[in-house]
Amino acid sequence: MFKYILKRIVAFVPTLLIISLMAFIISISAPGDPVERLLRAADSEGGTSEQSNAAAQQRQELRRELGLDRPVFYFTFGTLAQPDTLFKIADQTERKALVKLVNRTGNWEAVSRYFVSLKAARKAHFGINADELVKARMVAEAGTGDSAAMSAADSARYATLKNEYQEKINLSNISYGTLMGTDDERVILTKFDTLQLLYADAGYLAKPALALADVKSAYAEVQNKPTRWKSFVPTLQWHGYFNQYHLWLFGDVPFLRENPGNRTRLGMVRGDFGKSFHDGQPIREKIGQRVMWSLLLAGLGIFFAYIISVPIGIYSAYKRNGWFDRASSIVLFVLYSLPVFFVGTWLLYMFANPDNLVWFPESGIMDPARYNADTMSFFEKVKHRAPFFVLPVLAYTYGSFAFLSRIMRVGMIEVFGQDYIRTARAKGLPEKQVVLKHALRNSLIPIITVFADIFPVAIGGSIIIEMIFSYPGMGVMIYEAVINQDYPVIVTIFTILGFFTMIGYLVSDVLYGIVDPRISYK
Amino acid sequence: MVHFLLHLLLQIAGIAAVSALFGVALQPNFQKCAIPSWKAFVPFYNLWTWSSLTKNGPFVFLLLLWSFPLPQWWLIMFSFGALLLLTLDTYCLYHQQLPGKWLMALLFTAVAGAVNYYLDGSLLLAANILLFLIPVALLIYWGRSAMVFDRDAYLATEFSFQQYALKQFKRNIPAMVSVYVLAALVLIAVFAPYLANDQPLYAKYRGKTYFPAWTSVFAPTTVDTVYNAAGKPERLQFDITNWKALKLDEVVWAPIPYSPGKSDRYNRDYASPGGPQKFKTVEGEIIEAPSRFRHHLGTDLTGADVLSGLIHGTRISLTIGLISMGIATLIGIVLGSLAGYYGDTGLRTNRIRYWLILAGIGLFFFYGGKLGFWWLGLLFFLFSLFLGWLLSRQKLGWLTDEVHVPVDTFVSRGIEILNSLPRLLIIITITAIVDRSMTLLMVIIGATSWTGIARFTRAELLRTRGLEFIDAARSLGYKESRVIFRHALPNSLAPVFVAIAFGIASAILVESGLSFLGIGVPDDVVTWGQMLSKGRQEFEARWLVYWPGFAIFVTVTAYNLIGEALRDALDPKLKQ
Amino acid sequence: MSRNLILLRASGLAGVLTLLLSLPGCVPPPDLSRNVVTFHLSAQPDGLHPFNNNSGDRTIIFNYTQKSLVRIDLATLETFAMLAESMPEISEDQLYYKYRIRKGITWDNGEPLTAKDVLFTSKLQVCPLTDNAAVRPNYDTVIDDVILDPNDPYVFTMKAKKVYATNAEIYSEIYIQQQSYWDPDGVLDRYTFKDFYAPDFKAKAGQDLVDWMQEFNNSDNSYLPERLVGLGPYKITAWEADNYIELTRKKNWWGDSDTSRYNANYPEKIVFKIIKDAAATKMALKNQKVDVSVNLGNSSLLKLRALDYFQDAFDSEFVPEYAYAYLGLNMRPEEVGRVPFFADRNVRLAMSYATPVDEIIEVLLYGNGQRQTSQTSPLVPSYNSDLRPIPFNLDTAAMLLTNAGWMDTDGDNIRDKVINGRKVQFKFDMNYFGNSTLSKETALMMKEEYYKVGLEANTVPLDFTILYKKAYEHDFDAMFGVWGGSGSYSDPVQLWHTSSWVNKGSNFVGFGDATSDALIDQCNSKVLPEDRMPVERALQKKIYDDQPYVFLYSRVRPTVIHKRFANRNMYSEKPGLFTNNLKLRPEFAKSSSPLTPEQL
Repeated sequence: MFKYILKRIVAFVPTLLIISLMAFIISISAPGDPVERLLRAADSEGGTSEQSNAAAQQRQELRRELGLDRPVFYFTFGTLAQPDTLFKIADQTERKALVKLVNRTGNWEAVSRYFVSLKAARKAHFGINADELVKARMVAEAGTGDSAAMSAADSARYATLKNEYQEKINLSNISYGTLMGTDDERVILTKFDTLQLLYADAGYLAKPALALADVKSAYAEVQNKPTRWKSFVPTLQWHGYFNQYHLWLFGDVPFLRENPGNRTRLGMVRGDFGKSFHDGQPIREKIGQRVMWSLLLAGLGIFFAYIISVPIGIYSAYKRNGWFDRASSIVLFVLYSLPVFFVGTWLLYMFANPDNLVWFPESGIMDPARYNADTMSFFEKVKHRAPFFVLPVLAYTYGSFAFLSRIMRVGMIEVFGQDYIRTARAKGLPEKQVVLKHALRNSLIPIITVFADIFPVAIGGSIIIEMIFSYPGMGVMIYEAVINQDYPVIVTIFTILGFFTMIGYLVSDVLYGIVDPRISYK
Repeated sequence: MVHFLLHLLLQIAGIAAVSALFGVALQPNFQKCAIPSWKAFVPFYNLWTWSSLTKNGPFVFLLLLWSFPLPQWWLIMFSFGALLLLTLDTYCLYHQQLPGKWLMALLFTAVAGAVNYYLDGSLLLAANILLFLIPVALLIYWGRSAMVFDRDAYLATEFSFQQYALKQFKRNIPAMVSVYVLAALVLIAVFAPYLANDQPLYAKYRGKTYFPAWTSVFAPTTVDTVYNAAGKPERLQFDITNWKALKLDEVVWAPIPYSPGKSDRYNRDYASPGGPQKFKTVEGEIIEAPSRFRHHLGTDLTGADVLSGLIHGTRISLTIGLISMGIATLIGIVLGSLAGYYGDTGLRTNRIRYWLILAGIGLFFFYGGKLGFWWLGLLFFLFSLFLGWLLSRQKLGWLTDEVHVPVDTFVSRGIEILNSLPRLLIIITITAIVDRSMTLLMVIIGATSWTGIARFTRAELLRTRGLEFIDAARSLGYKESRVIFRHALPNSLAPVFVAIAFGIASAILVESGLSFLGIGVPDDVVTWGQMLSKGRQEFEARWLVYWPGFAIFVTVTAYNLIGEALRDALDPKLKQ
Repeated sequence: MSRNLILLRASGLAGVLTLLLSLPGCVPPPDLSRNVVTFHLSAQPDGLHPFNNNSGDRTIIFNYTQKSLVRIDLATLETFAMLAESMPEISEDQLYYKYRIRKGITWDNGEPLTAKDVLFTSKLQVCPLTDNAAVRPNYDTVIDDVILDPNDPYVFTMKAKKVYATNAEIYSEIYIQQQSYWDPDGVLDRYTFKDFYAPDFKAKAGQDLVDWMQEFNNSDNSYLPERLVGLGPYKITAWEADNYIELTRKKNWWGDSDTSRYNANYPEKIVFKIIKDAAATKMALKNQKVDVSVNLGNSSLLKLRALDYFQDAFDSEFVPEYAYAYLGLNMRPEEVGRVPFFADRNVRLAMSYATPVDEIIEVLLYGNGQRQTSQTSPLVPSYNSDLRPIPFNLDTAAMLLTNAGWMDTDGDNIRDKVINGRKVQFKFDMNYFGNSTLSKETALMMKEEYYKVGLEANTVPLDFTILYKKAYEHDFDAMFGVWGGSGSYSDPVQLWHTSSWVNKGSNFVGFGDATSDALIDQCNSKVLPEDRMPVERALQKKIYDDQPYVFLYSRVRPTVIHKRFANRNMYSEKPGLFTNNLKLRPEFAKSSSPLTPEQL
């Protein structure tokens, strides 16, 4: 028995790893940039405020902090042409363009040189100030750079000139940005031409013009010295443990030291799940604050489900095809196929709505205006909270107890058909004992097997319910995490759920063994 | 046009699937048919056979068909009438003739009609559920007694399981009713554009004849120019012209003259079914809506017609349910049967070949996926296959040792992993990344819900692979694939059908749940769940909660009942 | 007998359960006598760290727990002195701002507030090690140094880096922190602003500071109630995640005698109840579980107003906001290789003519919303009132389009044009934030009208980050957006300066030329509002003429306050009202019964 359990627990590990990997793959293939999200808080209409706008360098900081400047996994499959440092380029579009370029030409050295030259070209625009340039020019031509002192004609000219200068500077500047984001030869070449034209009659853009020359030569090299074959040789690039997945799993602190600060990470295995992308809160806390409520909801729901379904199942099986059996089977069936969001909505509409009945509160788990943790006794607290749970638990329970009691019924019917029941009856045992002792015990087996799936069901099933009753549990958290693409949270949830389900399986197997003496784990 | 074809394709696929499902399950010569007989794929073939199973069946079938293009309360009263008629039929089939059943049916019909016409909101729902449950209850009661009644008759005759199962299914009246309901739903789905459309079915305008509803399906941006009396040209683009505002010489409107999701400016802001509704006449004055142009189930915030939404929603729900389950079934059966048939030791090959195949797959994806040269990838793949085949014939010692491919382990692990995560969560997560599209949604749902089927298939094959006729087939030297898919599999499918039936139900639930949360389906697609969530934002608009809820409920119940029936019918086989 | 027994058991159990369920089955009527304001939040703030978090809801709460030297007055929109005795004395060159802190302001532990605290706070605000990346640029571009007065601990001078518009109000958003609480052994004193601004600061920052910052940035400081200390009249006493945040009135607080709008503290408690879901919020209001709400849907409030018992219980209004919605039109699409639909001013103008703004307001906002003519709200004093909203006129739109060379040559009802040798159909993408039903409905309505003038708009719902990522990359044709404006002066550079287009700032559409840039620079170089105003108006005119956006509407904030409180004021500026000066009306103080009309 013990050996069996041990074996199973060992078997968990790979499964869990796979699950976390799955979640991880989903998370990295997601569009959108967590850094952007962290820097900007959206309002409900997708608006944002003018003020919140951070410099690129600060984005880099955040990147580093979130570990996004690392490669994703221990290794990547690439081509011989690709360097193993591509991940260092933060901007997705630029990275894509580069990869395409490399795959097309196979000559990384040239491509990187081209890329660097582009960057240099962008830099070349710093310090070019249209205003000063124009002033200087006006001084040369009209004698004064101060527009106030000029003649009308001159000042008009001043304005137009300045306009023209500004235009050209911006154009050439942004053009390089565009070049960085594209690998399309046609686009690149046309850009070169337009820029050439632009510079032709703009002496003040000498620096960018020079830069353009470099860029062109670099690109020419890219074109002329292709080593195509390189991009056809598959390679496995090894990044070592300095990667996001490792960071997430083991953290970046030596294993036996405690966490020196909240910029470092201890890693999943040491119970540090990292920070939420959405609000910088540690996921551990996030979950900690909510998991209890979810478990309570699930616990109550499942408890009631079993409490109700078992007797119903037994009795309707016992009186098979009796009126109770038929009635209950119809009712249960109807309940079974009513969608939960419909029932939830309807309950809310019926029992928490001043237009109908106000039997139960409409949302939350307590009324902060009345609730007082210090003065209230335990019983009072329970009494205060109880009404808040009725509707969610109802919405949570009805489906599953329909389901369970159907299973129970089938199980019971089977058992009643068995010989040992007949013998038990023949022995003249009291009916009560026959049913509740002999029959019940064995008919519990199917119900126990269901127990394994409780965890995923508990969390997954509660998403909608928690949404409807705005119940502060995991379900809502998950939903928001998904909507906000808060992947650290999602990955964590996936892994934790996976873990608990494994436990669930194990427990159910063990229970199975306990209930059914015929099964042995030798 | 392409869109239309795609839709048509999906529709036919859906119908084929539903027919095939029951076709295969209930083909009398089920044991022998290796692949489902072609008839199974003929749309409605099976539905028709069933309807012809009971006395007056065809009549009921037709009645259901006729009743649908009518306004909603007729629709409901007729279907209820039909339901009861069927009930009485069953009764009469097994007991002596009951006098005046027609009368009773008529009476019931009238009641149902009245209820649906006069009641509103919660009462209406309650009444409808009641009206729905009465016949169902009777059906179950009489159905069961019927089963009890002639089980002996069957035991008397010499036993063929398939016939037994078939008969069992036929005797299960609720299931039969569900089949009718389903048939009706499929029809609604197919003819949705002609049942609810804001463009007329037929219109005569300035001497020209049009069939806008028809063009709206596959040539939405049809343009035509007409000349008025003054000879002034007037441009008519069918999809933006407001046909209700034109002075049409002759016109035949669709039964529900509104399209889903199109806002009706004059009945905006939750016009209630019973309440006052406005209508702008051709002359341009706004009057109380004539009953032809009433929104029989009310409207939502933007004035979109709910009934038309329901009708087109049927299309979505059924398609999603069927296609996604189709995908799931495919994956499930293939993986399940491989796992079950081979187990961990069944599939043997020698090491070098095994590796080369894996490498080949890797290379395929490398060149195909990463570099985009699929042909090259394919080339590499084939080459490595060939190489493997070549080398496997040599004696290379350790390299050519025999190894087992642990198919079973892989598959069961996969199942374990998928099961250990809440399906809804997985689906939500994925749908949040990919951009919204129906097809993707179906694929995702399908790809996440194959585990049940795979489990069943695996278990069944584990059982069957030991049976004599498999060995026989093997000993005849058939290829493995043939043995699996033509001998082992068909005899293991029984429980799979049950799983499929339930699967469809849950797929529909998942879809509506997703659109209730506002994820998954594209914005401009109207689905039941989405309507329900709108209703939730505005409780006063009860019709937005109840009708979609009711629709979902009915559909899901139908599938569940069929699943139940199949299980009962195939039960002894499961028990073995 | 035995089966009866089972039946008995079963039914008994069922009975017990029903009992269990129905026992608490009656919720007590809302207790209206308690002097507690329940404020509805639609989302939980992302932490209440004095510097590191930046969500709108956070500032709402800080209004009661924190204090700044100066702040904007919600009514007049003028900045006035809060902790300072008066607005700063500005030196001739407008680079030195001398503040004098009010006497008698004490921290919770009795210590007086001195200039040292301000120095400490300012340092934190600009220190590169603080986790406030999002807002730091607004400060480290302004504050050059803070000089304490050696002989008066209550006086200090802020040295600005350059003459800049926000110099005088720079302290309106900085919440003053207590040095002796956060930094008892004065780690920050060892560093000067010079050090912080040194390019290689991070490299040579001492370990002491790094460690201290680790501690300071620790997320506990944004969640644990006891750590969230401030000068405000209330202190946070409880925070249940996704449930509620409870603020309690401080005992003998320094400002107790003061009853001004911002220092009054009538309610014993302010409870921020977090209800994310619109439907649930509505229910909560119906059940009077919430006293104050500033974020309902327009339609929900209208529906609620139709109910008598709601009208009896609540005082509700649609207060105009400064936030406005727009459809951004990409003015320089060639730069990213997109089709130049909106490069031509005529086309942009046509778009404005073809947009049924009034109908959108009528239908989707239920008439509660104003038209926006340019980037500034009509409510703001600096608004240029001679700008007229562009009327809805499809014919004009069609004409303008034809002038711009877009016409339907192939009779498919979509206009087309030959652009460098290639015939292009006028089919453009209209991006919008997928989670917002309002934008969705708006998009669909506009699509309909555009289609009538022969433009095909393809509406694309996008996730928030992707929407804005595309925007920053200039990779869009047209996009819906909302700028959450404020009554106070907001620096136009981010949105309208060409530089902000070049280095991918918030000037998504690529608006601007030398003239507009010049105007913006002028704006920012004026410290005093009255000097600024004419330039701002000129800028508005410029933007109005170029129509980089189709300006849609400025939103209204449906505001609801329970009638049991007297002294209910609503403002356009965020957060729309101040709950700390809501007085519980005496007639409610006793009775705890649900209120009846005659009580009001």
